[in-house]
Amino acid sequence: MTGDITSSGLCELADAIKQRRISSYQAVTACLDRIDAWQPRINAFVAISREEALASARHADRSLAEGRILGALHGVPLAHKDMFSRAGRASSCGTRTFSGEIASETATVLQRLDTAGAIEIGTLNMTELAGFDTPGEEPLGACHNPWNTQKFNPGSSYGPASALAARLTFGSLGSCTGGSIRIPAAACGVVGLKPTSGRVSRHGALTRSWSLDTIGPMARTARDVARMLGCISGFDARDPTSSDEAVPDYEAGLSIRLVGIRVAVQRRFWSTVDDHVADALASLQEALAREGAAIEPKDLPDGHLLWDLASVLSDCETATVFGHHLRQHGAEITQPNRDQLQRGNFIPATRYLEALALRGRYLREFCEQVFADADVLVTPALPVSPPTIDEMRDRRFAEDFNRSRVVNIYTRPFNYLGLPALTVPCGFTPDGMPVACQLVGRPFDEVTLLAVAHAYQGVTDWHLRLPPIH
Amino acid sequence: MLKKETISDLANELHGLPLEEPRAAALADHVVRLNSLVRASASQLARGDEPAQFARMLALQKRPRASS
Repeated sequence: MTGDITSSGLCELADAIKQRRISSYQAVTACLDRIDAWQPRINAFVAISREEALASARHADRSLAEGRILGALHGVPLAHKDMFSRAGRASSCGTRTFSGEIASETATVLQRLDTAGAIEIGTLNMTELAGFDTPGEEPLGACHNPWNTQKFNPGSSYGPASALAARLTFGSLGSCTGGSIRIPAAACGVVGLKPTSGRVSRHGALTRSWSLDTIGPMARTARDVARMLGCISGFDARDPTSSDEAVPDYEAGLSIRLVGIRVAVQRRFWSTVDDHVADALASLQEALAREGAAIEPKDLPDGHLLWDLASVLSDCETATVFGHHLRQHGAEITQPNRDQLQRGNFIPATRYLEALALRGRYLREFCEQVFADADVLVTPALPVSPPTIDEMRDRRFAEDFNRSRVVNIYTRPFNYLGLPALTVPCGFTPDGMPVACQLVGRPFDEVTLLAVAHAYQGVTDWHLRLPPIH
Repeated sequence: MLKKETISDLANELHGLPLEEPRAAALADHVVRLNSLVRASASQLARGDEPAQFARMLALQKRPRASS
């Protein structure tokens, strides 16, 4: 490995450490140095575990010298959204109102990454209670997009996305109720995966909406995401909603050739789509076709209906989950989130149960309509370029922007349907902001999404570009 | 019909957080629209469509294995 260590990918680094071409200590030090340079500009970290991370790196290097490899992520520095419990530590969950609540056990996903040998170098910024932040009112301070710090940075996992884009970590865990992994990943030019509902244990993670919440990996390449997914997936007795479906070898699956892969594309988008996003999607389709995939335009079911049904579940479940918290700390929660947490109190239980009961029916209909003769669906991820922070500070502009649904119209429907969905960078706007597409697959078919994204990244270099530091 | 005054009163009763008029009105619009949308969609529900079946439906919709 040559040059700046932080420019390499997670798998590349893990392999270099295993082959003793680089030490874990060097990798952690390189991340910490880069965090020192970027943190004042983007505020991606909530806490930096400098001494603990360096001690863990020394331990990883000693283990390797003694011939012991801890796992697939031996000695690799990672940092995650600050909403996963670790015994003896408090997670902020994006709010000051949880301060001091020390966890008594560690989240399953963190345990599994620990077992794989990963080193946690800190915790990452997120929106208040994984909801919505109003620019200027972020409880932990705004987390900025390294590609342009003047732009609004959408999605609750904005800390992981920004940290990955600035090369401060090699991989991250995010969480997603309506797009909070994929949207910030798209805005920051990294890869984000929302796995199938049940694929990854949620034990020890902040609950927002138990029907929709999903934990997923974020990294700079599909291969890196595949390795992380392999480490965290699988049944967990501590999370009864986790699935006992067998976990495939996601990295081995990357070698699938695209010849014969059928890619469905939307004949009509669910929203307005900026020209440069539509152009980037067209270029992606051409690239996949050159690799042998068959592109098939399709009419899709109504995304807005699925979006609304997801809202019913999200509104009712967040009102339930945070009702007690709202009574105790309501005045300390920002107004937009307070409004959001109250909405579900006014939806009758029968409507909530109907929205739940419709889920299976709409999932079956969607799969029959889209995947009967297709393996992957391609949609936009974020159909428009994010507005500026100054624009979002105008209350009327922000309300119109949020009401237009453009932020999550392509992501939230797939939380309702429980389908796996992955965003991958596929271009840049003329003003230098990343553009991404979304790949959606059948339940538990993450391996095909990752293989398509991996093949695409093999013939493009969008994921290799670095944001400049000014 | 859910009135904004009702919402404001209920919000105050539930959480001790009274809602200003425009916010109560926006919230009323939101929930009235969602309630009517679900009610309309629910007409498609069949007797066997139950909330607890979603995980099973996910498993059923897996990609068919290629025949060898």
